[in-house]
Amino acid sequence: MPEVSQRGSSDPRDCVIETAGLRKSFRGLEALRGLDLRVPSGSIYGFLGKNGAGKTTTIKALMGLLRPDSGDARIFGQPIGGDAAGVEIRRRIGFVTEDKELYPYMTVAQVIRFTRPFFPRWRDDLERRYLQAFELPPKQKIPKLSKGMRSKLMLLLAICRGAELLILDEPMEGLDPAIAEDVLGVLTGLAAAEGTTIFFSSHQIADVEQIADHVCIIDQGRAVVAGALDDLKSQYQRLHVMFSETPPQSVAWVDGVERVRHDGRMLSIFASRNVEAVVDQVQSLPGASVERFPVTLKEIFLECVRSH
Amino acid sequence: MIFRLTPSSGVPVYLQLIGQVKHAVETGALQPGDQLPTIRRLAEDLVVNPNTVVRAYRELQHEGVIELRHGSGAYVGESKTASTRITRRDRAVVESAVERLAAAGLTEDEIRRLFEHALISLRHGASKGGNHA
Amino acid sequence: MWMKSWLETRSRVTFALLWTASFVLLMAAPGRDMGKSSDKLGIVLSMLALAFVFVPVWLAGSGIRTQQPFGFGSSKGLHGSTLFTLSLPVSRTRLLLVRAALGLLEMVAVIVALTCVVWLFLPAVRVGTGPGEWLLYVLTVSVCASGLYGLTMIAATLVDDAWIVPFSTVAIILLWMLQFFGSVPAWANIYRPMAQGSPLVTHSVPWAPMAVALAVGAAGLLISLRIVQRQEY
Repeated sequence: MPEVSQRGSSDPRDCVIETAGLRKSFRGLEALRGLDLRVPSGSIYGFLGKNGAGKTTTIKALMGLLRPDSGDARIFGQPIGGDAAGVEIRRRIGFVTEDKELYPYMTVAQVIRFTRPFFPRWRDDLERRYLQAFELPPKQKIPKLSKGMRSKLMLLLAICRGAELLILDEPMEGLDPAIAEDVLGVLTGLAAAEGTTIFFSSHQIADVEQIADHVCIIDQGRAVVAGALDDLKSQYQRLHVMFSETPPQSVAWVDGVERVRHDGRMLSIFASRNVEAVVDQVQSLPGASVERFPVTLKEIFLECVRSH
Repeated sequence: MIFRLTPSSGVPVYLQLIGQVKHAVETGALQPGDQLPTIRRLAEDLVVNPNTVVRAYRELQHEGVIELRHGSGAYVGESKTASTRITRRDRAVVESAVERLAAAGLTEDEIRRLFEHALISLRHGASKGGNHA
Repeated sequence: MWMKSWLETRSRVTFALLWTASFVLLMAAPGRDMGKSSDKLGIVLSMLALAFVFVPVWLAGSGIRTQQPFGFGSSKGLHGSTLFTLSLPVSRTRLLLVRAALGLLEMVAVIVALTCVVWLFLPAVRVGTGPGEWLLYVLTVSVCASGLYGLTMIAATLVDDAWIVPFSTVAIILLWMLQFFGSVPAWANIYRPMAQGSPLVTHSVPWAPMAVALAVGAAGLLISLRIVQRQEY
């Protein structure tokens, strides 16, 4: 029987985007403090973080819009160097900016005609399909488009290039839920059909949880959580412990316990790994009865980002 | 395909999908020989990561619930014995337990919680190799 | 790329044309009873030079940043679509060169157009000059103005969009005034050949100032290139 092959590469060395120790400061403010990223080829990679955590700075650094102070960054295995090197890399990338601004003096059709010649692998079939699916009026001037339409236009321009990698800065921002769902569907369809790697930053944890297979949570310029989403969800657990007598006040918790919350005779433990050892330790406490809960991505995000 | 997946519940999405396909097969909504959507189509329709669908299909194929034919896609398996692991007897076990608990005065919620507790202990017991209090 | 730059600059070109044309018209009216033709020519040339000197300022652009077609209103230093442009597989060098080239061509077009208008509508200035000299005039003015263009380019890459025009205007005026205060040698003065020193008056080609202008223009271009390559967005 024919085997179903896992989409994308499982070889950890086959990374489309790779950064190591990326640092960047602006006027004394450290935006990135040693960011390590590894985005596997063919994955849908969600990049989460609070406002100001460094998401857009990272994306701009990857696109060559700004130069990191130190650290290494590679796309397709090539260092993001100076001017000329960047050109070849950018021919294989589709990009959507944070504020979705395009040229105010052009119409939809004009900006498509403008963008097309830069990309020899332009896909006319995708252009036709998405022009229709997104209902973009070709003769309309860009400033007259609604925010949702502009996002879709930028997405179209990014998708039709036949790019191997899409870098999207908050693609769903400002979109109403129906359009956002359309966009998510387009992205998953693209990933499945073309094997495109999709790297996107977002505030919407639910969106990331829905379509990403890898995530990275960035906080204060560093990656605090990174890896395959399924792995993370099996590693992290929440334990609720009910005590029939007064629980011990201070316990030297084993490795893996991230946070413990007390409330009377109840305990809430958030563990990032080593869960079996944690459960053993809890069960050794007198009067304890444990219940285990899987964690959502939102919980992981809130717990890992809160107390810094 | 009418499937309902909740990415933010505790259960991995691919398992949810496997469960839903099996349920469809059990209830007859999917008959042997019926064609399932392509990985790409299903990922796009359900708006989930394609790898999730890949994993679910792979597992279903492994269990014999579906077959993958070169070039044409995924089909519900012909073999009756592999189509569902849940037998009528399994159903009867659960039904009688529920009836008894209900007769003892427990509400639906309470019964559900008991089952979940039991499953969690089972999981914990299984991973500890059977050493549980 | 050319199309984009054109769309960005076309209203500026129109403005430049109107600006210089109005200059000419202003002087055509009262100029009828001015003295001898040769004086008249000198005056006309001075006025034209005054107009032409500022044309580079209008047309030099904003480095590789996306321009509003009429850049006055843009208060945000960086137009969002510049990021889009920079994400395309084009080197910054090429972006700047295309923009600069188009601006230069537009500048020359304005000079030629205005010169033709003057030649057509002020017959008095044609006296004592031949078409060959008018061509030389156009060439001279273009070359000298391109020196100013190069200088303005540097400002365009460094200065915030809304301030480029006032800043460059002031700079050009200051440079012009240098010739009165400092002792700028005749060969380096690129303003003179646009008016008094032009082939129409001297009947010779001012090679030295033209070479200086070209050098200045080229330097301006190279400096702008370096700046643009190191900029961060």
